[in-house]
Amino acid sequence: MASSASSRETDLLVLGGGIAGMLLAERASAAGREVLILERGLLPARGEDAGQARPLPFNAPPSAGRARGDYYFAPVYAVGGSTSHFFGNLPRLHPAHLEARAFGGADRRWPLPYAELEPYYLQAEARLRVTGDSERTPFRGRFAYPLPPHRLSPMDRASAEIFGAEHVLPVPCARPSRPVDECPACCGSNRCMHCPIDSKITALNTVHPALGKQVEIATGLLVREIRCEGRRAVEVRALDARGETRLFRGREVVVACNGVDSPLLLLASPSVPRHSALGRFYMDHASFRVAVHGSGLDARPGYGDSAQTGMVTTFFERLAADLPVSMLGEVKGADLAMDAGGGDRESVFSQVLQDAAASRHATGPDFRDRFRELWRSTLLFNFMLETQPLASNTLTLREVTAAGQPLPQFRLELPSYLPAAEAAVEARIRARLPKAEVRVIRRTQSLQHWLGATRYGPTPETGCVDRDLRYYGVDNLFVLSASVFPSSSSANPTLTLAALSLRLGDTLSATGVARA
Amino acid sequence: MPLSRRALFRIALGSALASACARVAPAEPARARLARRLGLEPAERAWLDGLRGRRQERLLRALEAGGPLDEDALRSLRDSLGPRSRLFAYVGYPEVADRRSVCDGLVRE
Repeated sequence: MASSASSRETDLLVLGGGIAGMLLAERASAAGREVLILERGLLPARGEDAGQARPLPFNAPPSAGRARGDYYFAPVYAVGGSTSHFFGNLPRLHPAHLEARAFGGADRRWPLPYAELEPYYLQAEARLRVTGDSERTPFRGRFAYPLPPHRLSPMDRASAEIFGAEHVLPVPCARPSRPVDECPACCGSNRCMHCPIDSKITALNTVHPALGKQVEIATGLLVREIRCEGRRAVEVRALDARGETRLFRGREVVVACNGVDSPLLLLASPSVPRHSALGRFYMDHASFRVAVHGSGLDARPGYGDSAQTGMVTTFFERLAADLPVSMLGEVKGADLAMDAGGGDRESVFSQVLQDAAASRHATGPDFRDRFRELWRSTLLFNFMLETQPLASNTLTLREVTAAGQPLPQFRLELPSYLPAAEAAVEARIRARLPKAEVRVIRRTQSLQHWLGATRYGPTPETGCVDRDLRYYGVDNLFVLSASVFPSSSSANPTLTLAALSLRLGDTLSATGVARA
Repeated sequence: MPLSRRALFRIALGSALASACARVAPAEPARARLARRLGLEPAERAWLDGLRGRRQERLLRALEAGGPLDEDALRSLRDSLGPRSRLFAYVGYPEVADRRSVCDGLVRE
């Protein structure tokens, strides 16, 4: 493996060109800082599905667990990162989630009170053109979504019949309700990981164009190691596609890979202090899907007024009493079309067919009518469950491939309270729809929300980073990924990560100004 | 010329056979019966063409037998009715020709 003789020096060195790294770079460069981003993937063409593009030898799909049904890790290695391939739900954490009491010995408190985070939520929502309802929100606070909400779909309205209208709200999302910038309006269906018409707001179509020439992004560079001397990160070693090592230096170094690769990089760097929390307290949202057959409600999905525009907040603040954790429900699309893959839809579709065929006299147009009636009254929910930060749930470095790619090893168990959570949801539905058939059809903990493995903590004994995201023991090293979350909440993490990115951008801008 | 008794018998037998044969139509193919059973419009009957070999017959038997459908029958129905363009037509949705202006939200999950 060849090595270049000299290091390239920059002011602010950001490792990772996803939403976090880009928002940070945008803010810091606006304050006059020179920023260089190192990204292991390439720059996708506009509209290209970055989730399918892994052309470099060190960007192979890192986990085979999906095929086996185990926990799996499916990152997007490209400029823009995971926002190029995500559903785009952008709720805030509930204030109670930031101040939650310890549960089962796990400390869930955040070092930031909600009031300190709220201004950054507002800025992140404005920057990412979030579509949402500023009047109907899951808790009191300042909300000013830049785009109005999508109209609730028939399925959302049917969900409101079950859970109460006050608990079924438009989900804040990156799917614009109106054309914005160069992005056309979205129908709101939320069936697309990769938007076929480039409507969904991503780091690539929103933040990246704004970076202009102020920020350089060097692509195709896998960062292998951060080298520290004393209390400073002095050098970053990266591998290019030809297998040559490239060296970089920055006054400050920000690790903004993702919630798995950031901890892996720190674990793979021998001179980085090894805090006891590093690689422990790993979390992803446990979730379960619930199908409701024969609801008798009009829940038709499809064109225009489409599938998922709503979220169920009935259990969003539930942090005590019968459930010790919070849950956020998503109204999923039960359109059941088979060409989008089987899985849940296959199971639900089969049940609709069974019910339609069970009517002895339903043949010909009657069968068709019966099928239509059953199809229209079928609902599908996905409930995301808060996961406890347990030291026994770990992320470790399994191996480094011949191409230099570090691979993770996960140890993560479904939470013990999952059955109680399912029972709570089923009971709520049955109380409202006693004649309906309610089925839990899938449990999973692979929602690709990678949390906790470099968690915040008030001391180096309890965490890896301080409240300013500075890595304990290295004064110029910061971690900017969802791995800093000390608790999982039950909300999707991207918006909170975006808010933390803007906050760190301000912190580092102030540092640069002070130094100047 | 008067007909003999043997000739009259032949004519009567032939007439009876012809009449009987006319009343028994050729057996209706499984595809047509399936299409009728599922309420498919003529233009939609091609949806069943993907069921090769004996799958059409097996599906028809399963539907006519009543009772729970086995996995083979369910798979045949999913294959026939499941693609979105067919499913949405089957439940009466209009076809969307311009996916750029009215995204139907489906690529894959």
